[in-house]
Order: sequence, then C-alpha cells, then structure tokens
Amino acid sequence: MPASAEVQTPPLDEQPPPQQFVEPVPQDEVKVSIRNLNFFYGQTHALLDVSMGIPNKAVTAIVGPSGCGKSTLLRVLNRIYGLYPGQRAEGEVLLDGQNILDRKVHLPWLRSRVGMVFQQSTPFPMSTFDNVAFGVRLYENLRKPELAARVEESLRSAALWEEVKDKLDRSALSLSGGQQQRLCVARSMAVRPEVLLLDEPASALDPISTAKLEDTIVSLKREVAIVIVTHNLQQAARVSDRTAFMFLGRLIEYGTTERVFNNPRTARAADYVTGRFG
Amino acid sequence: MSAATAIFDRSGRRRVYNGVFVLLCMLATAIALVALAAILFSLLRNGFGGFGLSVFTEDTPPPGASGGLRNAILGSVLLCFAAMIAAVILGMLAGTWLAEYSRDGWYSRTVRFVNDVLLSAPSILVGLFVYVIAVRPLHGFSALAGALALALIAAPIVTRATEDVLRLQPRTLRESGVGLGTPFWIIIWRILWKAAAGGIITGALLAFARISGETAPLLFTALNNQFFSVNLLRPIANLPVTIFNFALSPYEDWQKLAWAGALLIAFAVLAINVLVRILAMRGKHV
Repeated sequence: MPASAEVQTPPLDEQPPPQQFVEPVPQDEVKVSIRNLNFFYGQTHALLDVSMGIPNKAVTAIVGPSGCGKSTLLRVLNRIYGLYPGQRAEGEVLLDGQNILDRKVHLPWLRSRVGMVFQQSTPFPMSTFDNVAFGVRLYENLRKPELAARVEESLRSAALWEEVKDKLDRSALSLSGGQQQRLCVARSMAVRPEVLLLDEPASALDPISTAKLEDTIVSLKREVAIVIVTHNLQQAARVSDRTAFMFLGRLIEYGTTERVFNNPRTARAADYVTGRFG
Repeated sequence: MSAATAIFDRSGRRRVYNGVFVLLCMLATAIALVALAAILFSLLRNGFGGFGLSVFTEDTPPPGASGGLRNAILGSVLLCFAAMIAAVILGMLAGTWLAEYSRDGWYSRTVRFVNDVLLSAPSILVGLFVYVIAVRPLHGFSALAGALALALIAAPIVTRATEDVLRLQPRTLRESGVGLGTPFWIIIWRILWKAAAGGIITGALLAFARISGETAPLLFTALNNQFFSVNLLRPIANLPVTIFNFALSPYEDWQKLAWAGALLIAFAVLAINVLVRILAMRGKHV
C-alpha cells in the first residue's frame, strides 16, 4: 500500500514532512559506515542509495515492511550475498575505514569479524561443544583448556551455559528451538567478532525464548556492534539504541530509537511506527 | 448445499465406483503378493535343501563331488566391495559437484541427464562396454573388470542419492558456515556431508543391494573361476554367475548349490534393506 495516499495536506504555516530524515552518528562512535549503497538482484534494484552509520557497542534495528530491503542490507555487511551469482552491490561499506566491498577483501577474514545469526536456527550436525568451537578451530590453534574456556565464555555470553553445561557432548540438534538459536549466537561470538548481524533471530521463537534472546542481545552490545533486522516493532523498541526505517529499498528515517518511535519526522515512518500500515 | 449432499451421499453410483476401485486395488496387490510369496517359498524350500556348513567352507566342486560356494561367496564380496569403493568415491564427488558447485548450465544439465540414463541402462550393456574397454585390450577376463562393471552400475545411484540429499539441506546451513568465515570445502567436508550422511549411506546400501545380484555384467568381465582366487587380475568366482552356470547344469548337486546361493543373495539383499530402513528411521529423529 503506498503510504503517500495517507499524507494529508499540511496547514499553510507548516513545512511538508521531509521524504527522508537521517540523523548522523557521531564520527567517533561509527563502526560501519555505509555510503551510497546500491544493490541489485540481477536486474532488480533492491537498495537505492542507502547511506548510514552503524555505531559501535550499540544495537541498531532495521525495520520496515516485507520486501523493503532490510535483510538485503544486512546481507551486504558480511557479503554473504556473494554466494549467489547475479547479486551485486555498488557503493562503499567501510568497516573501521576499510571498504569491505573491495574485491581484494579476504572473505573468510571479513566474516570472522562480522558474524551472522539467521531466522532459522542452524546448529551443525555435531555436539554442542563442537558447534561453538567450530569457528575457533578454523582461525586459532588453541590448546584444549583454552578452547574449553572460550566455549564456556561464549555460551555464557549467549546465556546458554547453565542450560547445557552438563550435556556439551550431546548433539546440538537435541536442544530446543530457543536454545539452538542462542547456540548460534554463541557460535558466532566464539570467534570474537566486532559486528554481529541478526536476521529476524526471534521470529521462530516462543515468547519466553524471545525474551531470553533479547536479554542476550542487550548484554552483548557491551562487546560488539549489533545490527538486528526485525518485523517486530516492540522488539526493536525494546532492544535497540537506534532504529532505521526502510521502505521500497530506500532508507527513509534513521535516528535514536526513542526519537524515531516517539517523534518520527517522515510521514512514512510515522505511519509505520503508529501501526497505520506495514 | 448440493455439494455437501453429494459428499455425504454414499448410496448411488459413487459408492459402486468406490467399491469396484478398491476391489481392483486389492486384486492387484494380491497378484503381486502371491508371486512374491511363491518365489520366496520355492527359494526357501529348495535353498535350505542344499544348505550346510560346507557351503561356506568348501569351494565349488566338479560334478558329482561334494563342495560349497566359498570361492564364489568370497569373490562376490570382493567384487562388490571393490566396486562400492570406486562407486562411493565417484558418486559422492559427482553428486556433491552437481548439488553444490554446478551452476545451472548446459554442462551440469548434461551430466545430470547422462547420470539418469545410466541409472536405467541395461546391465548387460554395461558388461559389454567394460568388455570392450577393459577385457579385450588386456586379453583376459579379470576381477578388476568385473568390479569396474559393477561400479558403473552403482555410481549413478550414489550420485543421485548424494545430490538429492544435499539439496534437501537448508540453504541457511551453508550460509551459517559461510557466515563464520568457513571455506566452502570445509563446509562440505565437515557440515554438509555429515548432515547428509544418512541419505548418502542409504543410497550406497541400495546400490550395494542392486549390484550384489547382477549377473549379466559379470559374464563378460569377471567370468568365473572353479578355484579359490583373490587375484584381481585373473577371473574370479562369484555367486551370480555360479548360480547361472549351476542352475542350467544337468547335475543335481550343482542345482542344489545354485539354490543355496540364490537364497544367500536373497538374504543378503533383505538384510541390507532392513538396515536401510533402520538407518532411515533413525535419520528422522536426529
């Protein structure tokens, strides 16, 4: 439904609401800087000139109606789109000042710095311990006690340690759905990334598991920059410090979560956060 | 309203049609079951007649002497294992390439099509093919040629099973691996093959069951051997060809051994199928 249909004629003494309102993130807080990003699925232009800063040690939520490009934006940040032919990104995405869209970027290195958790939990077919240790074993040559300590630390940071500490050698597939999802968070955290991408991580979880996962997210922001894509506005309001609203491939509004929810400046964002569409 | 009454109306033509159809289905099932039971019954009755410990301890005898099937059993096991080693390596690699690496181009479509053709190729053609490429140039029948022929029959089955079961793995499983910075070959090696292991093993066991009874491809390749031999470059004894020869012979003791051999193969295939069922059931709970 086009939101423009709902824009009312403003009184004469007021300016019409802007089409876009993006608050800049202070330069010293920026972890990832996205500049004029365009994305294509073959001929389909899915992201149009997106520019925004993602702050370090904070949670940034990306919201918007289905198909607005929020997952696409997330999938650019670790270049996982590169698995599929015909998908390409143009523009700049600077991670600590380095353009990750550069062809010369070593992808395993990039992905060890930018972790990702998906909508569907995807434990590997091995034990809980081996799941968490999987990424660590790829990059680091830790001795047994060190590896065990890292696994424990990661499971604790995902608030899963107490529940699984006695069955670390059991198959991860025997865990519940909510536990599996937190295991995926722990697996990503074990390689000590700097950015963690969450693609609708709670959409398949029950309310209690969702609450646990949200607590985990809030506590993890002490260590990493977190970007979460969510369909759930309440969730965005609960966990995030900043919120970006996207519509039809464009970034419409971006700012502190409190401001975007309480005082949206663009008509489309206002309609969306008040539940008039989307 | 009329639709609802039609659904609940069981008295008219619909009821007659339904009854006739169910009857036909039951008849068809009965015919198939009777045939199967007849085969199994004659196999059991005749097979046990020739059965004894000597089947496993003595080699195939000349007519009139006592003997067993030791060399043929061992030869069959050897042929099947050699063939399966080659078929599993080839089939897993080909299936993995088709599922994970091939873009949907003319080359992958051709490979897939040829594989499907090989799946249903008459086994006697495979035997003749190996005769032309491996037996005639080397001037002699050999166990190796027999294993090659069996491998050519088994490999397409393993290829197809591997591709199918890898395609069943969720896309996000690969993406999670990639998202951790894992090189793709490690994702295949450590994650995908493990996740798909149940299906691949099932496919391999079915291929094993299929080749363990094949006779035609061995007639032109491994031939047969009256004596005990494990030399892969010489003709080797094997159950299917031994059964074929003994069953057509006029000697009663040879015919008895043929029945025993047939029973042995039937049980081996049955055991493999039961194993497959168990693996498949366990796979669902993992």
